[in-house]
Amino acid sequence: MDNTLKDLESSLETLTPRGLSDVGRDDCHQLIDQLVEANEFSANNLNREAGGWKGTAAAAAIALGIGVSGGWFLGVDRNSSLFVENEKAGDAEDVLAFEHLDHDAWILATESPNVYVTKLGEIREISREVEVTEEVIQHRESGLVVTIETTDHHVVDTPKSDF
Amino acid sequence: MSVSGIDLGEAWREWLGESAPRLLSYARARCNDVHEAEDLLQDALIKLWGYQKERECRPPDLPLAFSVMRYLALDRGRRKGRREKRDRKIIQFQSGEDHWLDPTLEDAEDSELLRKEVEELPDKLREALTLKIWGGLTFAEIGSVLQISHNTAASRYRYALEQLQKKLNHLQTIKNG
Repeated sequence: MDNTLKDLESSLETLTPRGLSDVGRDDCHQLIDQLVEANEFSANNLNREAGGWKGTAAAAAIALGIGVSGGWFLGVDRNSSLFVENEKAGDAEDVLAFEHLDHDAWILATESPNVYVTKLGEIREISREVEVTEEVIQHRESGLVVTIETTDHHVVDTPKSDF
Repeated sequence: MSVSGIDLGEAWREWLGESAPRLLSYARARCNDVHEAEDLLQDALIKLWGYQKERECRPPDLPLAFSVMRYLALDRGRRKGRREKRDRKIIQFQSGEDHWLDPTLEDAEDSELLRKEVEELPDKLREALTLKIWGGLTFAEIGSVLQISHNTAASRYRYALEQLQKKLNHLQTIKNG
């Protein structure tokens, strides 16, 4: 590299990149704190250390909630990807710490079905349903009762037999 | 939280204080504005934290941080449409109000000129130049970040300098009449 380019390189090095704005720095620091806290919670939960039942209850409620929404409690395999992602050994143990008290499910809303004809000439009707599921669980150790309400949106597609 | 005697929050804040200007100079060369560049940095922080879990969540090496920034920037660019992004970036550079370099040296005419010419370099050349000069990476590290050989990285850097020199010489000739 000749001297001219080396001089140019030196000139470029004197230009200082601008740093984060005050807001940006605060946001990043806040984010770092959140990541550290999340990591701390995760580590405590994993080691079953001083976090006590509250952390466990939160994890179990999430696991149970995901299990319910995935059809786990209802015995329905809906292939919930969320459930698969969270299927860890610790979650199962967390769920054992709770007693299942009650289960209820109802249809909250439906809409008029739309009729359509398939390529094979079959007449079918399609509609949407909103299903609400309520699970009541109790933390065995503390006696705390938690109600988890889940809303599922279903597409109902059935053959239309009569008009 | 402390891992192996290290306060993670403090360690990451310190790392950010040292690395943010470098990472931002790179992000600004790839984003439409300073806010998007800072958003990109925050997204990178989250990704890097995830990667560093295998290493007790310690702050990452700079080349890894640049790689993640580049990946996220490419992903954003792909989603938004590269053409739209490039067009808007030219407008941004011409506005002169959103420089990705510190405006504190604005009084120096040569510095101003130099910045302007850097911003007008083709993307690939500017990327190599940014990573070398302000990122402080070696050619091997630049090659790793950009997924090119270190020779190509060195060539792009040298070519960027040559183009800059050529333009500056030309401008100087015009200025001197």
